[in-house]
Amino acid sequence: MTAAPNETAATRNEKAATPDWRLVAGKELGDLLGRVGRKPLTRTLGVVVVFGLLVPLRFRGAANLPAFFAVFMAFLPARLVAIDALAGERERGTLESLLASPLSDRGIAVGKVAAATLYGAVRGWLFLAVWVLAAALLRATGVVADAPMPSLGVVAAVAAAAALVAYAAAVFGVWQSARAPSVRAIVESGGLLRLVVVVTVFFVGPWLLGLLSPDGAAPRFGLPGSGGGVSADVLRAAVAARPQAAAAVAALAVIAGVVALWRLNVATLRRCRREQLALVDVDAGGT
Amino acid sequence: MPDWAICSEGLTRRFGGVAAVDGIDLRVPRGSVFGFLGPNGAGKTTTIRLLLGLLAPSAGRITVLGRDPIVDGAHVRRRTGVVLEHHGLYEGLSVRASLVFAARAYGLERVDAAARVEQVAERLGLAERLHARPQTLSRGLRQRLAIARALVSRPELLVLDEPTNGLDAESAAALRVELAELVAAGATVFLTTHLLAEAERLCDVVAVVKAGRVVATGAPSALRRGTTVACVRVEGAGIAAVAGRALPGRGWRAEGVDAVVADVDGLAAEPAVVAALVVAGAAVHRVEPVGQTLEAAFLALVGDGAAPAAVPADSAAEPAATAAPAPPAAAALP
Repeated sequence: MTAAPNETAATRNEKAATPDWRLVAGKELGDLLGRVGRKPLTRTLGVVVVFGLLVPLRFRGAANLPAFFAVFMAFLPARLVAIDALAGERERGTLESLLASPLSDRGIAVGKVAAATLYGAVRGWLFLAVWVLAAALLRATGVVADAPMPSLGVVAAVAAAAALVAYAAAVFGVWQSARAPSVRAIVESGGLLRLVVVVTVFFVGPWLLGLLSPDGAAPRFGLPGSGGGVSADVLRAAVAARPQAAAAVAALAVIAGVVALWRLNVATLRRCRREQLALVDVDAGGT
Repeated sequence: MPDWAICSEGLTRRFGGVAAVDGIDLRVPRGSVFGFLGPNGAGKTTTIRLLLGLLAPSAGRITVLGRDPIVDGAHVRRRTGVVLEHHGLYEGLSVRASLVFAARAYGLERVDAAARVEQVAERLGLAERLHARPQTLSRGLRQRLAIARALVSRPELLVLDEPTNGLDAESAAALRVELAELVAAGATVFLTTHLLAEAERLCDVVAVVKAGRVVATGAPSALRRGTTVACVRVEGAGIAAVAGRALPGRGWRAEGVDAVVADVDGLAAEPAVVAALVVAGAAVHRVEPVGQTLEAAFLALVGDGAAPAAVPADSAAEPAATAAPAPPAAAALP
């Protein structure tokens, strides 16, 4: 039975039909799309044209580059939306109104993570879809008969990876956003994080693969397709040489990832308690 | 036992060593309009955060609509509509989307939310602008949108931080009508404002807060009359001619030949002024206290050097609309 329009707050059902997190996620996405307009779509198309088609066609060895960018295209928007989720609202003076609403602390946090995850994942999937369609079109028309075309398995794996990376970026971003007085403060404090990501992707990863490779020679550092870095060949060779060690490393990485993500989830929910968020507002001299 | 919408005892909130709210006792009767007046930094916003359960008290206790807002915050917030000084409007959402989100957040089903949004938008003059974005609205319309968002759930308690800021006369009048209807239906309004004429017009009871402490509480008229020097206007045939003889040492001025306005040192002195004029031979037929404005009373209470102290009680029988028990640091006005 639905509530009558003239029903008062006192008589209304305590439990709303729609979960809080869905209301918050819907609001987040509506507000975001209303503010940014069509820019994300045009930017995605631009990135697809450059990194999804032109680069692989120019450098034939970089066939996996679009997959890398599909994941990156999920990561970056998810992170940008997530760091704006609370700090941005704080800057725009909307956070206190949200906190004054009856929406639960958990509903607000989960809704913001869900919105950032969905936005990032969709951007990644959009990249993936345009890449596949364009490659198929180029092949079908014979314009570029050997345009790099991912298999169905690669598409599924990249789509899943994009969603997972978007989720991790969203949780971490909301965790940061909960304590920050502004988005700028997060960006300015992100130098160390950027260093860790760069070192991991371009140095630690190749070094680990080098340890596992048959001849023990580490590949050169750099982007895939540039002659070194994390290429599928190196990975295959490493796994073939020491399958048990590779399986153990993979299992450990998955477990570590799941545990880290779980702990980050818990920490994010803890940080998103109302009084914690309101106190940051007070400290920031906000609303 | 009285039914308070808001009841606090010794409510205190410290940030570090500084008490933003310092032992506030509040009794806000249900169905009243309660004004919370004070200069910037007096603790108004912190008090609002405390009663919404956004901050926990450092000491003391508070109940809102019979519940502790920290323990049972969701219950309190579900029944409370809020307009904060910074409206907190989502720039990316249309007026309709903002209102629907607010309605659904407060538990209305989708269909009911849509109907209620139409209703409130019509009432506050937003019906033509439902598709507009907040940044395209004038300041007054943005304020109306913030108010509409608070009203959309038909709250039992409405908390308004400077509600008429930026409103034109027409919108302010519409707001007063809406508030009157809400109060008539049993809702309670807790508002802060620096527009003291507005407070005087809207509020049944006001509390004046300074440096985190309530320095006076009572009906606006009583507050106006109960502070500092006031005047009394006495009318009578040819009264100006005898005033000089009747009121030696007291300030007075003539208003024509048949009326004088005399200073009285607190309204307790009013009968003495009238008596002196009668003894001097004046035929008094009308006595009218000339109250100072609420603004003057407010400034007297919160001005530099005004410590939280007892306000001179007024012996004149000006009934307070609601009798709020006197907090220890404040004087109850009649």
